Amino acid sequence: MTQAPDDRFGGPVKLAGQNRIRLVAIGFSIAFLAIALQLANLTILKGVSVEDDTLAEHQPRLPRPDIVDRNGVVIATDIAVASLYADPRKIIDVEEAVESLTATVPDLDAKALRAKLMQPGRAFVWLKRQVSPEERDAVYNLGIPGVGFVNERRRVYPMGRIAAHTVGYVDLDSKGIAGIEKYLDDRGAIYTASLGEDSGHTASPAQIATDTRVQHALADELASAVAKFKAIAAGGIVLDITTGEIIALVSLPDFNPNQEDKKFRKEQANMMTSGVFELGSVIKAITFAMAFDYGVTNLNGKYDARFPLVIGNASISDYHAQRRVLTVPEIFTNSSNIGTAKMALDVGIEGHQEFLRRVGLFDRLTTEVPESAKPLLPKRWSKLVTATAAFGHGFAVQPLQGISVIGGLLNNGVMTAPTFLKRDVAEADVLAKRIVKPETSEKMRYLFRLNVTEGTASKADVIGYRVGGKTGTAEKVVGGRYNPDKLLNSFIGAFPMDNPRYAIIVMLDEPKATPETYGFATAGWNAVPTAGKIIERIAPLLGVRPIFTEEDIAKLAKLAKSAKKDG
Amino acid sequence: MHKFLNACLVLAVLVSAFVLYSLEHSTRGLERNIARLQRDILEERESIKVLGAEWSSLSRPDRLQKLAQENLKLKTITASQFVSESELAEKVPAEPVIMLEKKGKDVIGDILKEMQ
Repeated sequence: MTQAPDDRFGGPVKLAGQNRIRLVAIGFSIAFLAIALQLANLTILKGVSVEDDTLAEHQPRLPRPDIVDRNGVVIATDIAVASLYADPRKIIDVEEAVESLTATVPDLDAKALRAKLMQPGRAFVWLKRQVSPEERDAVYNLGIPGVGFVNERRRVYPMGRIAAHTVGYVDLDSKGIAGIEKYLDDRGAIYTASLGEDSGHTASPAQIATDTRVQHALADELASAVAKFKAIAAGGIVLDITTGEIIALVSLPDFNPNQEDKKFRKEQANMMTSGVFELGSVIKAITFAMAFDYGVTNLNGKYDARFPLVIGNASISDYHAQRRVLTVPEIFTNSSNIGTAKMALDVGIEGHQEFLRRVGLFDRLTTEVPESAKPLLPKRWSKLVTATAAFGHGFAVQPLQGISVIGGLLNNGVMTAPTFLKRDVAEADVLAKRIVKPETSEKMRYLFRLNVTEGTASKADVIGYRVGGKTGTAEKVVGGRYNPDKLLNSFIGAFPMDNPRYAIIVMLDEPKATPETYGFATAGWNAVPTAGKIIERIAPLLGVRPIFTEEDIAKLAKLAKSAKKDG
Repeated sequence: MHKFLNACLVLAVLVSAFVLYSLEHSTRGLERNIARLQRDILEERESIKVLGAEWSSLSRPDRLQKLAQENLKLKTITASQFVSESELAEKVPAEPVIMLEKKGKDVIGDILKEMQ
């Protein structure tokens, strides 16, 4: 843009203001260059992605992750629904609006609706949350000014009652109220955030340890046991003792998380974690493990159970009184209170407390599910307390904690904190804690198996699956006294006993005697056969291979013969 | 010289304006396309979710159990019904099964009958 030199007058002629023009030209060039550079920078180098903006309009916040079971079956998911709202300032004729709205959406109350729409100061009122697609279309067609829809997400539980206690539920605003749903919002917020994908718009599902098939089998068998023995409540847990995963947890009566109003009764709470119960003789297993681990006795030990044990002015006697000197395995299979109390006294008060502390029975067991209860232990520890706590009196724990400890005793003496979320073996190994010696665990496995082959739990012997277990018949405390007519029966077992993988607890609250049980209402007649049926159903699902010994084959042949005779 | 330069510049302005306009036009088209695809993806995702929920609801174990009890004559599997591979191998005939089936024999059925 510079002026070409003109030679006509014998030399370059400087035009007036040429320098100024140059200056302006340079200034403009710099400015344009700057714009061009910035343009190139923004468009070519950085390349603003359009994707983020368009998606953000549709999903303003991180979506709630789905919940799936250990096999990926959907248990909880979000689906889009429309919610009806109104802007009272824009409504011209309230009466007409009320009339047409109540005609299209039958469950709207005319009076309440009128009151809502009569507030000219408000700019926003909800008329109905989560309307069905048909209703939405119908209201759209009414074309009332000032009435509109907001797209919301609604939590649905396609599995219904299955695993409801584990999963919990959310309120209308998708905030977790109970179970894993609450965990996702509160303590598990970091876990929830980790599920979100990089884009921030989708989240991979939260995978829980539950197996819906096992869960259903457990619930189904417990429900039929409740019906058969006219129990008021029942519960059960299947625990993978090698990893601490809770494969199934049932507490009856249960609830349907899809129910519109979430006003559940107290009985519908999860009694397996939020309640504490005296599990009775099941606790004896812990006393036995303690005695073995301290080395005060072994499988060849003997205790005199001829006379009731008198401490101070209290006397401890046996339910299945044998009135003889019992060997340690006999004490276990006959569930002798006297023998067990004597074993605990041999260990001593201090040792007893130390052992209970070691297995965690002094502390509240917390899992992902927020509902958890602290164990109820005697406040002052005396000789009598040690003797009675040895067989489970005055000693109430969460059933989940009970099965977790006993699972640890059977799992080579290694206890892993129970979890409702899926866990892999490497993670479990980090959390594993040794509570007793492997030799102690071996002895316990022998006793559990023995108790099923020839003890009080014989009705749980599902031939082929090598079940082991301990029964408990506890009298419930009513008005400060033990009531012999109100029982809480339990069975804690594990299978396959040669290398235990799964532990199971079955609890029946106040089961009644039936003609079939010959008038007995103790655990051996109701909780144990129920557990047997459950194991028979779930063992194939869990991939436990049946193994038959010569004895088993003979037993099976005998059973088949008697079945033929009957049939 | 000046005129030529100016003419060139004007032409350049016109050409670049045209290029810019057509670029913007096609960009808008692409943006619309992207937005539509995003919407479609969201819709598809939504319907995947709904279908997943429906599948889950239809394959509920309690529902399947009820249907099976009503319509099938199946019983709960017992431990004694499991057979190991080696046990099964002993009973398989020497001749290939497919050949026998061609001759109209129900080989598998025979094995099962024998085992019962």
